[in-house]
Amino acid sequence: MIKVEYSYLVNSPVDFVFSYISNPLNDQYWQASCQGVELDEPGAPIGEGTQYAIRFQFLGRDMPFTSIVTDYEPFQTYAYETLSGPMLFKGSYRFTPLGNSTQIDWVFESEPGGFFGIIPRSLLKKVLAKQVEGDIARLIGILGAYRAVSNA
Amino acid sequence: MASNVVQYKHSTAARPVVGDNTRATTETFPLADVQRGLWFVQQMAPDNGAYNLVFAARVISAIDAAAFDAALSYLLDRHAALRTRFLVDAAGVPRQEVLPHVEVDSASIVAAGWNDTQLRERASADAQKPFDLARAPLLRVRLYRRGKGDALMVWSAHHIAVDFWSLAVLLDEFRQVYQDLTAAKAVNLPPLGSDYPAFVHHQQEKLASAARARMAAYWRERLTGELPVLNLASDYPRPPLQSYRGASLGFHFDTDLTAALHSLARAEGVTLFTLMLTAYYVLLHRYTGQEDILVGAPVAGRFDKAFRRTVGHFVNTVVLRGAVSGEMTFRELLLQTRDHTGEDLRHQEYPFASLVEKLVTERDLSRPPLFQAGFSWERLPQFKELASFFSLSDKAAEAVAFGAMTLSPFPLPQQEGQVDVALEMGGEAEGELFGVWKYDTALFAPETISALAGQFVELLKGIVANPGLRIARLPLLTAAEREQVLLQWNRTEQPLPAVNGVHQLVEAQAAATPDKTAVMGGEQVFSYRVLNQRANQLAHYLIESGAAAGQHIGICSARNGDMLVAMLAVLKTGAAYVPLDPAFPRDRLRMMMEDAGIDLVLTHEAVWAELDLPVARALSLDHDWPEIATFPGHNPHRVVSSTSSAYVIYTSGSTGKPKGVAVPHGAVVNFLASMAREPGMRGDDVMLAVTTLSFDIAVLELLLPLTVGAMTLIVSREDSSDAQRLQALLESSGATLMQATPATWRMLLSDGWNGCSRLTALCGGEALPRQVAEALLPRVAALWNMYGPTETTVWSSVMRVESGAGAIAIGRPIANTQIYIVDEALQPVPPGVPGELCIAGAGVARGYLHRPELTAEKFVRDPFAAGEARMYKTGDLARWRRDGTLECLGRLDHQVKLRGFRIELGEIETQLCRHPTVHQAVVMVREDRPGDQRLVAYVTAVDGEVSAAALKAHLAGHLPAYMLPSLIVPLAAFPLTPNGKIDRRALPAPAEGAHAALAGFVAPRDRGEIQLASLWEQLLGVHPVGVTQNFFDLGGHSLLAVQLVAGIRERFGVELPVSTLFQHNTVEALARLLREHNGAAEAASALVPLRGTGAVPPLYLMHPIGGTVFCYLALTRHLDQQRPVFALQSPGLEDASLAEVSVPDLARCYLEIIRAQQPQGPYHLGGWCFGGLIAFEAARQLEAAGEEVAELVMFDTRAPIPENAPSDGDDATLLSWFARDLAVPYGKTLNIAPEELRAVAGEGMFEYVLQRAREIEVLPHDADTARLYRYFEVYLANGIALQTYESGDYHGAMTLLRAEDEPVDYGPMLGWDKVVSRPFSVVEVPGDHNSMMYEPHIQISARYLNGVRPHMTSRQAMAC
Repeated sequence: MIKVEYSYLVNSPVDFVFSYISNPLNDQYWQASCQGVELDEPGAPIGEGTQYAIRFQFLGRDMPFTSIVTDYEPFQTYAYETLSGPMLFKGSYRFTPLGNSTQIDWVFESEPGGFFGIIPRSLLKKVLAKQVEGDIARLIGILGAYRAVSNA
Repeated sequence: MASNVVQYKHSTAARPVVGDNTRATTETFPLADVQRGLWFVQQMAPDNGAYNLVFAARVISAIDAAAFDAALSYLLDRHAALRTRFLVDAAGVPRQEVLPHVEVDSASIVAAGWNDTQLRERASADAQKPFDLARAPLLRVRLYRRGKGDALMVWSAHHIAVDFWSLAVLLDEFRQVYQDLTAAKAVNLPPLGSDYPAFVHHQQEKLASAARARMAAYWRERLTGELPVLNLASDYPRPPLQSYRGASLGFHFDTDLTAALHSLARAEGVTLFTLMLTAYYVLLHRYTGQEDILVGAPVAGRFDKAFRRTVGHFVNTVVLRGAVSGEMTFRELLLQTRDHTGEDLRHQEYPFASLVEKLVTERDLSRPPLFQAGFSWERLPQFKELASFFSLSDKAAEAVAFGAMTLSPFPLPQQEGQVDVALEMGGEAEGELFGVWKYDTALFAPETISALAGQFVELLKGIVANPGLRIARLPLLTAAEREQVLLQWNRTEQPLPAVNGVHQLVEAQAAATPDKTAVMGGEQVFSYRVLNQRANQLAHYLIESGAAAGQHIGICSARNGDMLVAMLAVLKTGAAYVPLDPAFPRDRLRMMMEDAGIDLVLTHEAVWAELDLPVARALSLDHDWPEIATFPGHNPHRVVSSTSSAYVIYTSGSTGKPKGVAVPHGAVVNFLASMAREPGMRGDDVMLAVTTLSFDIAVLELLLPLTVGAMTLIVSREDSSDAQRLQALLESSGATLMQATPATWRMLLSDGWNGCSRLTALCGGEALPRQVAEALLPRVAALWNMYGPTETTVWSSVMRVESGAGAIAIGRPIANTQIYIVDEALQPVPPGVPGELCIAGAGVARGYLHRPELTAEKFVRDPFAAGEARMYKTGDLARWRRDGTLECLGRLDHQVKLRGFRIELGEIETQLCRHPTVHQAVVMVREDRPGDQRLVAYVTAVDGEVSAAALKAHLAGHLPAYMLPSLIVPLAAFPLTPNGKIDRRALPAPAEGAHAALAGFVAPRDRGEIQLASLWEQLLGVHPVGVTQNFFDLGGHSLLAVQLVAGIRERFGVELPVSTLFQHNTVEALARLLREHNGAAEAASALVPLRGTGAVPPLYLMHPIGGTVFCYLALTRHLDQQRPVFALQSPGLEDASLAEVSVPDLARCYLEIIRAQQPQGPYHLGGWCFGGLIAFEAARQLEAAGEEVAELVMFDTRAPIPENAPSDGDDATLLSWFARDLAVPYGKTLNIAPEELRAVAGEGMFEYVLQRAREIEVLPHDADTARLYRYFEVYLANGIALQTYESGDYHGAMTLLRAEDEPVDYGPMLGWDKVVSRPFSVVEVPGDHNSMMYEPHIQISARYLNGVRPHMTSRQAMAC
């Protein structure tokens, strides 16, 4: 099992941050490895039980998954896990407002099994962490830009 | 000049103050040239005291301790050399530093109750204690106090700071100062002239002048050609590293000899020095047989009066060369020496260290460079009154007044072990010359040097008696030694049986024991009566057919009783038999028959039918027997002379044509009688005869039993060559004796033979290896080593072998036989000295059939016997041991000379055989390609497998480098001559592949090797350096070795002794050592200095995807030599946890390292392939930080754009790339498709790649899987970084060197036009993506970087 935990501060209010992150459709914009997302019920409100198909490309491999939202507490928590795909993973977010900013605590767990062949887990974890760091940077950038737009 | 007057206050023992030559601060300056060699030796062997100068004297007066120490302090203050220490600067260059003040190193030891021996031992040991050159003072003084008025004063100083002259100065000044101080007088020494730093400066100036060039030219001419290595036979095997341990033997010549030497010198117009040097040349010539002798002689080096009282090391060593021939008279050599030495001494200022650097291309650390014999002639006027204090002779000497002290001699040995042997003279007292022999105790036993000293006196007596005598004729052995080697050890007289013919011995035995079984063989069993009767019948038949003395009758028989019948019959006729082994090639048989004039062959029907050789008559011992049996059975009444040939045996000739040796009856009779006594044979013995009749040793097997009533069991060829069958026969036959070559004994041992407790084993025909002997001894009742050539009748010396160590002796001469060890002039050589083994006496054969010239050459008149007695020159090299046994050292022609080194091939073979996996070994010099002489070893394995690398390592631990074979060729079996000896001429030429494999260049393979190779290239100026090449082969010498060690210390943080380089003299070995030594230190830095220094800004090169940086070695070689080049290597190679997985992180990490070294721009960055990407990102980060990037060069780096990404970059793809890149440095290809790897899947993928890599030999032999896997992890991490890198724009200068021959098209700008917005340069360079980084293509890229840019296709690209 690979587990990574991140806490970071986004200079945007919690409602705005929660709304963006808790929508699986946004994953393809801020997660570099995400190649596309399709909701099972397009247009339906996102909430616990929402299922969607999501496709990643990571370390040269295509990884299609079906996932489900397992926790959806507006402005507080959001969680998801895979129902099918080349491996299992799950993630959960906790959102804490700090003034006009939001602290995000994110936990991600995955069991890659033998999917990545002989790539050692230590390296996978390192790559994953690096990927996450990049994604977070991108997320912060996007949310900042969005906020600028929304404030305009 | 400041006052040099001091006042000493006795009561306080205040330190007297010296007015001059003291310094307030330290100063450093280079070593004098004459000091460099000494410094090197001390680094190489820091625990040696070979260069400690010693003065010892008993003080038989009271000692004022305070004044004693104060006087010493005064001397230290006065002489800069005594306050000097020796350090190494950052570049590894030794420097000396004069300290302003240094405390005296003196001590007083209570020695009450010690006798002289105890005192001498302790004082000697203390005096020989090594100095640490980095600590001043390099002088220590000890007082061993036995009682009032009885102390031993010992001064010891390192030669690098104090030479003999200086010691005299110091003692003289000490005498004065001590006297003044004890008298409470002012010390008033004369002012010093120039000090030692001034000498160094003076010397450097002088040697920078044209005079140095003239001297260099002189010595180049004087020491031209191949320089000899003195080949003094040693008592012990030479250790791989010179021991620097020695001993001394004092001597004095009597007044008669001294006077005669003076007289001769005067008469010939030469100095005593020249006379003694010439005599020394002669001694060494006579000991070694060498005609080119080099001797090292120290010269004082005090040319300038200003330095007359300066303490320091001024002594240089001059290499004197004597061209000695035995044909010259001593007088001729004396005049030659006078002329040469005069000229040599006129050029004596040329530093010995420089000579070594120029002339010694292959330093052999087992012996001193250039010369191994020293000759010193020192007469110092200052020491006149103390001369006897340095004499180790046993002459009593008187006490002398020494200022306020009274001294009496108590000489201690000193400066021992510097060379193999040294003669030091110059002193003369009471009309007697005295001196000392010094020798390396790792090589010589005291008795050997004692004998040598006696022989030198003998030689000198001969010289003064007749200087016109040819050198070869000058006496050498003392009368006692001559008596010993010529007479005592050859006292072998034994009565001979009263018969003329060999057959008469058998006839007598047949009469004595007619019904005993004489022979069994094949289906035949003959009693003595039957055997003799049948032999008589055949003899009568032959006599009637015309057989007579002088005729040769062939025997080409089956191996059965008839063979013996035939032998005896021929002997009875007076003719000689000629064995014709049916197994020999027909051509060889035909040639032998023609040469011997054979017109009758005794054979068997079936045997002859097979051969179908042309002969006048073939008498069949089976088919024609009914007719033969009609002849009488009594002994023929034919008188056979003892000088008539009994047989003619053909042996191999050097020309390839066998030569027939005619052996007379008398010789065989003597031989058999001697063998019956020793090793001995009795009537109840059973001899298993396994040897072909064509090998003369069969005479012992077939005839000896018949002379004592024993039984011969003739073994068939099939049985004797099959270990199992032979073992069975040994068991079932009741055999008590068997004689065989070492090859047959080995065959049995290899087959697991348990031995036979009743068996006496005789071994001969080849050298008996100790290993074989030790295996045989517990398996047999007795083991005998037998030696002898066919030319002196089977065996000429025998020895029962006992368990032990070392080479097995060949024993003592047999009955009525004399063995002499002689030099080329047939003069006996001293015991222990190798010479040619010559045999005289009853066994000497008549000569070679129809070869009168060869007979005259090999069978010469016995110079040690009266009359016309002859002596056979065996061509074997041997020496007498002290116990009067002989040791065979191989063939004279097995002694070879390669690159100036005289090499005994047998010594290498012996060492090889000591390795447990080696069965047999043969070493030879081959020249399969003209001018390419190589030492090649052939080995067979004990169990079918030998590792050439393991054997090389084994040899390297025991033999000097020059004796290590270039090639070791494993063979399944050795080719044999028909007689079962190894056929050296039939050994195969090594396969070309073997040459290539060993001579092949192996590029560095990891960071350590790269760093070392880079350092070597820098120091040696050799490009490229392969990891298996020898530092010294590439031109490394002593000081370069020191600099290398300094470089290693700087880069690896590991302090190695210089001597390490001689046992770890390749990059590969050194890197391995460093890995073992300090892996952590190695891993500490990612920055690899490929060229650490230079005048222009450095270039930083980023590693490619593999993480290593060996790809930049070739580039570095061709870049401007003033340009420092550093490469960034992945830290993950040593610690996987440090591997970064993103390009920005990699760049950030490496920039930290770079900026620690170069805090500010402009920066010069570059990288090949993925390395270009890191460099690009680093340039971006620097740009973002506001730094200037003057140069960014990417070697065929593809832009990080989706189009350039591989369609599938999974682990299999990366592993496929990894496999490919493993092979690139070896110039090999290892393409494994990702699909192929995916089919393997899982953990097995990596092992699969390793296996494939091993198959094409691209893995370092010491590579371990864990390390390789770590390398792969780095590869993966970088692969991931490559795939995940998202670049931004860059605005600085940028050049893309594009591989124009790369088959895969990534566009003319490799996609960079889609990444960067500003123009950049694209230069097309030859080669594909890989080959562009290696020779020769890399030269073009380097020229571009060096600013030379003609004829290059370059374009300015604009971003889209």
